[in-house]
Amino acid sequence: MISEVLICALLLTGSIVMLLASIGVLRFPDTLCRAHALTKATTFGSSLLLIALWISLREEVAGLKILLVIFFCMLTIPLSSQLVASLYYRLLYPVDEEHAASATDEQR
Amino acid sequence: MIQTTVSICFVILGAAALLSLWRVVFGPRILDRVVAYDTVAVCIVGMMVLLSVRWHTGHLIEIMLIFSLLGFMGSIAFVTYLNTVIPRQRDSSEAWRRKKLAKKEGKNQP
Repeated sequence: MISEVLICALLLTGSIVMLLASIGVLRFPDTLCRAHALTKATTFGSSLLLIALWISLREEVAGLKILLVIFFCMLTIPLSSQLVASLYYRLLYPVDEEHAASATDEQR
Repeated sequence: MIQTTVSICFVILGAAALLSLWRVVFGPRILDRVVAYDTVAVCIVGMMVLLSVRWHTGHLIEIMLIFSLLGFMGSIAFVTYLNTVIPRQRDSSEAWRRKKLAKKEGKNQP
């Protein structure tokens, strides 16, 4: 009974957090804000859903695989979001080739 | 109780995936589309979790791993491709060349 209540609470919280991430992606005005809304909320929500699955399955081997999936989500989602944000930042503030060349010339 | 909760969560995650698909279709820039695509991939992984809770099987976990890897690789491939393509587009566009020329003249005047 307690595990059922725990599973229901984790599932509802995880899916509501992912809905909040999606609303943030829809409503925020900028790409950096959207990546910010995506990263943390999506990692948190998918981790909550996977922990609920772990409680629901009651198997040790499946629990290890679920831990692997959680670790993989925590590794990949912030990495891809960071790549998108760095590319957008370089589009916003492009490197001026002449300035870069003159700076290296002065250093020589 | 769990079945009702799983149905409600299916509705919530479907709404989340549809909202992100709106951003994929009408995103003003291409990086917004990449971000929204990542959100849709994670929503589909969450739906697989819900299916696995409803059916009481652990066989979908490997598919979750593979699908999250697919979403990650798609996003990485898009970013790498844009990383090589966008500066070339900027150099070949007429407005960018004119802006650069104006900046150079303004620098030479004083």
